[in-house]
Amino acid sequence: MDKLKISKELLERYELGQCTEQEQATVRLWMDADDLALDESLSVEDLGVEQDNTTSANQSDAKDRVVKQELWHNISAHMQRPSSAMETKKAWSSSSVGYRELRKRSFRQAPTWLSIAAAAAVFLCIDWWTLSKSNSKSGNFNATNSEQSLMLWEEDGFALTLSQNSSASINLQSENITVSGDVLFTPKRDFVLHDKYGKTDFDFRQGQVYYISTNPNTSKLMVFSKRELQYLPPILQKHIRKQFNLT
Amino acid sequence: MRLFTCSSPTYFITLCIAFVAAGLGVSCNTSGGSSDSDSEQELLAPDTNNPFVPAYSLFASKAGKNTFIFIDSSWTRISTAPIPHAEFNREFILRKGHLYQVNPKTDYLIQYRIGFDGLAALDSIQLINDNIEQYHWKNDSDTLLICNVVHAGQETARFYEIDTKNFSLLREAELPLPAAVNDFDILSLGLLRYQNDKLWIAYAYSKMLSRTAYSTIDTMYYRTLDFASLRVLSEQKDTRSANPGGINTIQSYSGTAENGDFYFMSGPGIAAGNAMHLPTAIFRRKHGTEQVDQQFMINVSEQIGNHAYGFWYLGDNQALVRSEQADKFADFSNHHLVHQFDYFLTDLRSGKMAKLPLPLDKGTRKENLVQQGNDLYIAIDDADDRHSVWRYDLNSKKATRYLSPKLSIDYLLRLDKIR
Repeated sequence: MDKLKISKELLERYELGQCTEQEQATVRLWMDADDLALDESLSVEDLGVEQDNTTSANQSDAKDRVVKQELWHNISAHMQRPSSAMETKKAWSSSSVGYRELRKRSFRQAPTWLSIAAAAAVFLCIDWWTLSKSNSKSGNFNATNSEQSLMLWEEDGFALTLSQNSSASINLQSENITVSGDVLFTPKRDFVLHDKYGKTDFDFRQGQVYYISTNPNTSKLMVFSKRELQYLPPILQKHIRKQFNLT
Repeated sequence: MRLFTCSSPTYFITLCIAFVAAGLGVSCNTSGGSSDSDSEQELLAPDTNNPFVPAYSLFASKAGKNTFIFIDSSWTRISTAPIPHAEFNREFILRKGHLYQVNPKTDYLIQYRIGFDGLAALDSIQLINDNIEQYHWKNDSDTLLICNVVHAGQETARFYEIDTKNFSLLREAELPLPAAVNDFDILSLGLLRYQNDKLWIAYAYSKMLSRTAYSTIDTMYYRTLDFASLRVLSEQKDTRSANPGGINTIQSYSGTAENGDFYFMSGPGIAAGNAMHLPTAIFRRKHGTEQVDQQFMINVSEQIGNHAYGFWYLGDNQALVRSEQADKFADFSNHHLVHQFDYFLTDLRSGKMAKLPLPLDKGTRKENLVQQGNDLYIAIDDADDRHSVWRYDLNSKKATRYLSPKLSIDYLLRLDKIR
């Protein structure tokens, strides 16, 4: 494992769709190295630092499993999306990491598959209502996260990470965006979107990461690039970085 | 840009002369004059062909991209130098030609040497998390004391003692500070000082009220620790304000007078503690004592009707305070964009504050003051999109636009003395 130099930061970037092809391949190799331990009981908070050579092999393996579990939770978010048949093909045809990984697995990993299927079924039951609202109209992207601390969506034009109890609606054709709660938004090309009032243009740039939330005073969207976060109050900066695992 | 719209031949000739002078690399130094003397301004173009030893540095930002602008000792030549990596930001420590910053990607504290061409990385030390909240040079020696907050789970304070001569870690330990007070579970480290084998630290607790709203508890906490063992020797609670000090890798909030008295400012304003009902105020810990003086307080908010954030000790019981104007910004989201910041010369004996004749500045936090004798050099981003170093003479009380880089700039985030 250590030879592959998997770090928490690399996995975070992988989740955010910011990895190079080589980095993506490295992470996929690492993902394939072990079974996905869905019943792992270790805390994700144990992963405060990158893997340390001085850590014992057992601890290192345990951490690996926790990271994978965390990734799996995000991957499972994609698994739920087939409930909306219209968007399934589109979602998997983009860089939907979870699907690619799972497709590689052989039948000898049947217990893992059963676990995955069970987990997917549970998620489908729990989130059926919210998820079934996703992508109800052509060209319109809707997503809601009411259960997990973070959920990641990969689309052709952007990647989106929703914090808990957040939702987003994005239509690249009509150039509209609405957000409830707060999200991280990573455009895969340059485009302009407007808030629901149609008065404010947000100029999104490819490769940048944006924090988007709703201003509690004005109910208008607030959009800050990752670099602009430095101008916010330090306590708020710290909260956002902690919430979205931003470096 | 205003000059281009003038039809007067006199202005046109003046403009031509100004451009020729700028092309020859002539300095924009002036020997006095009023604060808004536009005709005295010339833009100083970077000179990359004739290397010089950088004496000062500006840290500029344009469209989110940062650049160093080096200045020679006579303030007559400038050059630009790239930042070492894309994540390099304005949160750094600069001393004796060396710069220290944590790489946020790796959490390594990197030691750089500053040269004409830019920064050369020399060595590194692994930290936990990338957020240095306080640094302090122990007895003004080469021993660097830093502390930060570890975010995993409950917040804890981490302390590092570093020998910067050999760049080796002498000690790393957890500071004995409570993780939370009631439901205020966000820990902020506001001040750190070493004196007489004791470590003194000021800190605060905040809590989130919604996704983007928070508040800070209405008490400032101070602890004195035994430096060797980090055992708690005493604790003091102070309810006169909130959020003592602030992150001093971004901006200064304290200073030590010639007699050893230590002054600091609180930050309860919207851009820091967000406990708006409490005043921004200046406090004192007298030399040789462990307690903050309960008889001394300069109520900044009461005098100027606003909150303030930056504090620099200037000598002879005078300090500079950088203050916001509450009627000019909507909330925290546009606080940094608005030209609202005034600079007040503050007499620490009488408590009186006098506004300096400078244009309104923007940018919520800046480490943008260099002092040379009676001259203050302050980097300001004004409402006419001019980004200049101003010189204020403490004797004559005159302010002059002194140096304006001929570069495209959004913010001058820092002005530092390199040597």
